[in-house]
Amino acid sequence: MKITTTRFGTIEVQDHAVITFPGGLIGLPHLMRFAIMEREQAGWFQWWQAVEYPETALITVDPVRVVRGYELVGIEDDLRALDLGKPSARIVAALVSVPGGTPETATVNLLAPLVVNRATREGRQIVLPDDRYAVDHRLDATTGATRPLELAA
Amino acid sequence: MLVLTRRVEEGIVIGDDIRVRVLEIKGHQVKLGIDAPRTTGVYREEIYRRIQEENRRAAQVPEHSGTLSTLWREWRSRGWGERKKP
Repeated sequence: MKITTTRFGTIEVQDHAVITFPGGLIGLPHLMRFAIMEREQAGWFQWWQAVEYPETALITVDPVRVVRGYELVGIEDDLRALDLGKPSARIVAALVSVPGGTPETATVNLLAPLVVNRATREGRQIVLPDDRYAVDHRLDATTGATRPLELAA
Repeated sequence: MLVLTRRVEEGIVIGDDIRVRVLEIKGHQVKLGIDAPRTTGVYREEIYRRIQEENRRAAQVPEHSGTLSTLWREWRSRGWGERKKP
């Protein structure tokens, strides 16, 4: 399919490269379909271009690259129920914010990762039930710099 | 807003498949038990708002596509992210 974008022009995307979020993202329910863009020079980062919104593209990163040993803690039952129990069955991506385009201030949302079923290409944004990971983890923070575990009662 | 008064062990039903039950009341804290389909997101309100805010920020990446390669260059030159074992 052809997608119009403001950043990359008009691009041709294979159907299997499109990921669907039936419920959209939290607070952005209209963003339901994304094309994953493979770009050179981007390392662990990827653009996820919104299919229906030319001006909207999200930056994502594999959270394991940000924090050693990153885990989807506390949602193992949900993952199994969604057939996502095995790590190989899923793609996990964390959203990156770059306020003002300044890399030094970039943050990663490790608390509410996007989890995608590789087979069906369907995804959900899942909120991890404890506070081990921050919603705005600074990219320039050193490794293992997670917040102290503050379990809510 | 609909306002209902419930006692401990009582609950409410929302639609056909969501149940909320008051499990315990201690001082100013109320413990709720929620049964909902796994596909229904259930969040503490302040966390939901925070994620909503963060998602909107993430959706406002500056227009030029070079943002990503700049980010990656910074990542490598500053040694961000998980470090190799010493």
